[in-house]
Amino acid sequence: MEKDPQEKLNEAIIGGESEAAKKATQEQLKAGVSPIGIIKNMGKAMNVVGKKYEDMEYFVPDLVMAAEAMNKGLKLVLPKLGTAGSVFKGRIVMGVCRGDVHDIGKNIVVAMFRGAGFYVVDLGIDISPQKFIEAINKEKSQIVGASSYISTTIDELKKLNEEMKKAGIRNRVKYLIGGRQSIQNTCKTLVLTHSPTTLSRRLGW
Amino acid sequence: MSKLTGKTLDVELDKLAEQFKDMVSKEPHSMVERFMTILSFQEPDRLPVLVQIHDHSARISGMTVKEICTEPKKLLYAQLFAAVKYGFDTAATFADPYNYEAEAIGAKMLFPEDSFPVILEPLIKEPSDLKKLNVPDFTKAGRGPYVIECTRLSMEKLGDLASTASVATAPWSMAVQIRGFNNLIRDTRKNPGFAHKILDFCVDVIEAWVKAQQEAIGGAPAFPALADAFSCIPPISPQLVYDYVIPHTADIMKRLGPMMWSGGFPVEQIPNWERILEDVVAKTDTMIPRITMLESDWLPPEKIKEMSNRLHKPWWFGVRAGIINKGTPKEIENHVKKLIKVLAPGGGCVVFGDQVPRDTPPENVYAFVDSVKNHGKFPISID
Repeated sequence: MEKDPQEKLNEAIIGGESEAAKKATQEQLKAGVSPIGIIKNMGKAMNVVGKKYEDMEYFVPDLVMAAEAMNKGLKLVLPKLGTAGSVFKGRIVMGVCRGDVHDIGKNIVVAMFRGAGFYVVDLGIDISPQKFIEAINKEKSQIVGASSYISTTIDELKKLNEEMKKAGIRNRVKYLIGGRQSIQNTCKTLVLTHSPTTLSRRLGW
Repeated sequence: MSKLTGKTLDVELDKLAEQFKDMVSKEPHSMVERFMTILSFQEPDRLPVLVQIHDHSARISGMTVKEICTEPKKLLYAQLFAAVKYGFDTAATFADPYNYEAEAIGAKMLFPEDSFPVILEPLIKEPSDLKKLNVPDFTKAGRGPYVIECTRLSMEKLGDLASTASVATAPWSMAVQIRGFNNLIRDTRKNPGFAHKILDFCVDVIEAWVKAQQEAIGGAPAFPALADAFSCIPPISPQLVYDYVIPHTADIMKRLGPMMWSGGFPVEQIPNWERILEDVVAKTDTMIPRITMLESDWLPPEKIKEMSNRLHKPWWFGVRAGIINKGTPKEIENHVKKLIKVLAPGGGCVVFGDQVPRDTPPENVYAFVDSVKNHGKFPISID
């Protein structure tokens, strides 16, 4: 018996199959499933992935492939949503800090936040504090996430914090940090230790 | 940029070299002698003080990271500055070992002033790109000449006290650098034959690189080493370690002989971690496995000691950078003392400071060094 598109999409994301995820998303859209409904289901699939990672059944490569699969489907869904604030739980700007190009973890987290219903602007790699702040202001985001992997870029996480204070926006923005340096050196890694669903509850969204 | 250039740099470098030689020559044994004694499961007079300290050495010596990664005299100056200041037993001749091979075969690099060079984009974007790549002449390509000159300069200034480690990237980590992590993972799932072809090519390149370094020093180095941080678990899965990391690491060691290797091991407590750790060592004929726990101390050093004795395999156990960077001097001393008590007796294990970060307070580095020198004297006190 043919599986329904939602089940196929779940399996594709959990299995990290990008083309299958794309196809299943197309089928759901064609069948009239609401974009927000599709995203919610993607989020559930990513939560399964997250749980498998916590249980050490999955490892980082599985997260990476699952995130890719989800993003493949999201690319079809997001244009149909628009960016109206009421559709999303919150708006996040994320990037890898200046001088660093390691983005595996950041890409996974971006996918998980999108699956959890957040509007995420992914700035990419090597992002200066000024670029982060410009994006926060432009996107009117409530959350900013920055990551640092190599030891020499840990200062950039602190600089972003200081620059946001100078720009007068630090009080209205929740600041998440991630990456190996944040784990070793500084703060709680809310993103890496909590699923986005849990995180969104903790943040009161 | 450092103010030390030209003749002034030459003069200061010579001064530091003399200071280092003077300091080390007062020791009853050299670092190499102590290390070789430990490798043969015997006890020297004390543990050698070994610290991986690159960007921190740049900071305290007034150099930029870019300078130490591109200019041999400045690298040696920074390393000797740190060695003399803190009392290390050796000075490294490399800074960022994960990039040399990829750069030499054409990877585009970014050289920030105060952080390590990074590869901007994968060399192999499509499978057909692999055919365009060739094993380079490392005496001319990329920063091969810089690394070779670093070693030559160290030998010129320090003689027998020079470090001739010959560090190279291991096959899996090099494949990640030239293909990109996501692409390589996708290849292992969708096109495993191609993933193996990439790794085969990496083995060829690494062999050429190590041999170029060996020729520069007139023979095989005492401690050839493979850097392989990208092959640890859970950044990759145990299955990938068995299917890709172990076979190609074993291949390079078959060609070049046993080497030190820092890869394939679990950095978190995963199911069957003991079996995986033993397989990683046994199936690759690694001369000296090197292990560092990155974020937590879940791995009992007692287990490493038991494994080392049972397999008769010396281990290099890293004190994680987070403790040296953020601990108090007392915490560092107690941590290092605890590791030494378990790992050092009977030889077979070396305790070293792993990747000391740039902003580490100097008193913490002193605490590590003093702890090794005070508590690492043989016979090790069991109090």
